[in-house]
Amino acid sequence: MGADLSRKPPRHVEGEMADDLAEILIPEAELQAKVHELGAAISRDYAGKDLVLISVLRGGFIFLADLCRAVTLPVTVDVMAVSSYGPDARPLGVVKILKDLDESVTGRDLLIVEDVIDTGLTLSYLLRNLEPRVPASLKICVLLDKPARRIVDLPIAYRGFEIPDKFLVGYGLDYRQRYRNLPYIATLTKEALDRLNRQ
Amino acid sequence: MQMEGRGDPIERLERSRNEEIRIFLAEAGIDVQVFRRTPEGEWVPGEERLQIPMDLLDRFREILHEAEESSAPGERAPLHRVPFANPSEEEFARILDFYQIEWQYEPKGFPLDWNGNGQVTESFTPDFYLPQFDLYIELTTLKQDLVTKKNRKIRRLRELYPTVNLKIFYGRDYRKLLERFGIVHQ
Repeated sequence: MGADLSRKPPRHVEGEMADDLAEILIPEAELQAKVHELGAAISRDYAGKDLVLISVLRGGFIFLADLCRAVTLPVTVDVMAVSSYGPDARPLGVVKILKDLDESVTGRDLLIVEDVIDTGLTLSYLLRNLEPRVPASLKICVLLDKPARRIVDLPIAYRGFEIPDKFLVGYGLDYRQRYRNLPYIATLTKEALDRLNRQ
Repeated sequence: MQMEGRGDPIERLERSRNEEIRIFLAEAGIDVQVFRRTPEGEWVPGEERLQIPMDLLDRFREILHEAEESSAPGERAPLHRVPFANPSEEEFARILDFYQIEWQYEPKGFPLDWNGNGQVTESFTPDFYLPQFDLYIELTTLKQDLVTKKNRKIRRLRELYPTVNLKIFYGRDYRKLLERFGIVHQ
């Protein structure tokens, strides 16, 4: 089953992975332009401040890597990992921090760097977790805003793209832990979704 | 993170934003210790510490199980004691619980119509209320004809109570939400 890549042919993507893609929603060039636009805004707003960029694993790592290089300030970078809700997590009861920050953040300017916000539940939890550490400021930067399924509204200081309510992959976004390495944001074919759901 | 050479805890139980219990696996059994967050944001071990020998672990599990079964006064009832109208609502409550978002189930009905005597003849009760966000949530997983009726009520509610913050999740949206969490909708 060939892919209908209506916007741009896949670069360095071969075989099964290319066949799995239905459409490129945000091409690589658009992503990079937006990341640089966000980086410039952040550099302007945080000049002279002690900025700590905090990303949430695993989805945010590619956006963080590109964004921090688009920021022209001497930033500190740190990462967190939290458990997600799902069939396996249900017996555990509540979200857990799987990897906490290594940096002390008291009195520093924190910017949470997320690949995507949809329900807002994870970010809401992170804000509640980070606020008691008494940072000088705490704001959110998201590359992709998927408002259709928002449960908790949160103030987003920096927003890349508003996107439709579809399963998206690439640039850190996964489906069943695959496709994070695509350099653009794409949708999967129904055949690929069905196949992956059967595995 | 200070672990006193014991390695990472196998479990963390959050008692409050600034206090948690960490459980460590030790050679002789289990170490349970309270940790507190300093004003500088660092976690430091408190004096409260319990060491449970390996041969008492089974009894410890029994005690924990009994504690879970009897909720403390004033706490929200366990999920299985809330009279949810359908499994979708219970799943939604589990999701909120997981992310430690406080919720109330159908806490308030909004009158929508009255008869000549001033008696309420129609009302609407959203499924959930999230006090932290002053937000009502309605899950609509019904058949289309019932959805149409509910939509009319929701429009009326928004006319009469414009300041009420209400979000609607329709069946398709809700199924997608569950899929996002890897849950197959029943």
